[in-house]
Amino acid sequence: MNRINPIYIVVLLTILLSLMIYKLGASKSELEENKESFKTTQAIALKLVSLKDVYADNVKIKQSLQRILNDASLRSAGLKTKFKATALSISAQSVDLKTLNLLLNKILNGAYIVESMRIKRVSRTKADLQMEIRW
Amino acid sequence: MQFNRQHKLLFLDPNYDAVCDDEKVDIILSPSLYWIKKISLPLNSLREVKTLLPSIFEDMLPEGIYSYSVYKNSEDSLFYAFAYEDKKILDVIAQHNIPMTHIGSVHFAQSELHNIDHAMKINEQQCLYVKDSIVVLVPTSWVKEKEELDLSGVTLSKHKITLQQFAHIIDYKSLYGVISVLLILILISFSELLITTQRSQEIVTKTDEIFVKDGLRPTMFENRSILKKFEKTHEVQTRLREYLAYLLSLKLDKNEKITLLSVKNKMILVNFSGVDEKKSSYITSVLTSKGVHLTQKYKDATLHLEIKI
Repeated sequence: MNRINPIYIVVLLTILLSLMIYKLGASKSELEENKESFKTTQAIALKLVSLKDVYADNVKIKQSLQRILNDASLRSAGLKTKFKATALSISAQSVDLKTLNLLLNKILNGAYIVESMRIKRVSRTKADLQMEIRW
Repeated sequence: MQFNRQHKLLFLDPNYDAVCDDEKVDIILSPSLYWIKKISLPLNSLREVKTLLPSIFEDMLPEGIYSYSVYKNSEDSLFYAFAYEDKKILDVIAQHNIPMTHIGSVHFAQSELHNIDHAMKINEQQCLYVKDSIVVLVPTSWVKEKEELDLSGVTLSKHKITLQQFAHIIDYKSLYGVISVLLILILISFSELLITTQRSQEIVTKTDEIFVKDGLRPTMFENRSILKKFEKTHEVQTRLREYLAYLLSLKLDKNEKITLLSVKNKMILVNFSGVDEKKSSYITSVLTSKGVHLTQKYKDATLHLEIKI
């Protein structure tokens, strides 16, 4: 016959509800944080993947440079090329302007990291070239 | 045959000296502690009758907070309806120093003593008596033959009540409403908590999947740092191409020419030869108008430009 005062039950349920609301609030904040973190990660990943694809895909870059250098006009221009682990050096003495234009157009219109470049005019139609492309 | 009868029987009346010896008791309420009505209703369900009880007793009860009970007597097929004040009964229990923990069950004298065939004296002034199937308290002087109250032969019926200990301070109906609302709110909050936690977990999983799929470094700090490096490279390379385009699109006269173009350490060095001072200022003004940061040096008809990428 000894019964629990119903007010105690109400108080207990109120405490439980407050606790639940507090926990729900914390959980919602965590959800928002996770959403934000997801968005940030997604944005960073998207940028990183596209930039890596352009600037850090060694195989792709090497193949693409090789294709440029294999161009008939450039092959006959006497360009000295040297592939290193992380860079390509191109040098040429008294290269004619047409060839130089062709090479520069292809390099500068592609997404290559031009680390250094030196073009010195030697005559009206000739120039010396030194260039290093990094990846 | 009653198998669960284990407790001592105790007759409860404000004017009857009941003794509770620190043991469990089953209480039989004196007619002075309740109101009774014998009614005939065209209803079968006790639940339906219960809802009608407050209106049935409406006219006869003094001011107070009442609880109601009803049972159907199988002998005469009539409903026996009761109204009682929990507080009043609890006060008498307290007056007799009976702890609530010692009370096994509470019954009405009507349901337990309606079969007595003689009056039972509960004190000098009053005795229990059955009149027209109703157990009543009558003055002792009204009854000639009477005996002392003896409950030893009583077998308890299944008709019992539960006292609402807090009925006098709380409106139970609204309290149950509040409890129901609280329970519903707790249930809703809990469901929402589960859903939120699950969604949160799903997002964390999706984020982890991005890490695996795109080959990201374990920490965002590292990834941000790598991205910053790539963005800087991209920015420098884009600006280099932009500045070279500006330089190569400059309008030069026949005798004016670029003799040296060098790119190193994020700097562009350009030598323009055969340019006069007027022309050199034209070149620098065109470049600076396009946002190019440069330093210039003019010597022997040659303009030296240093452009920061």
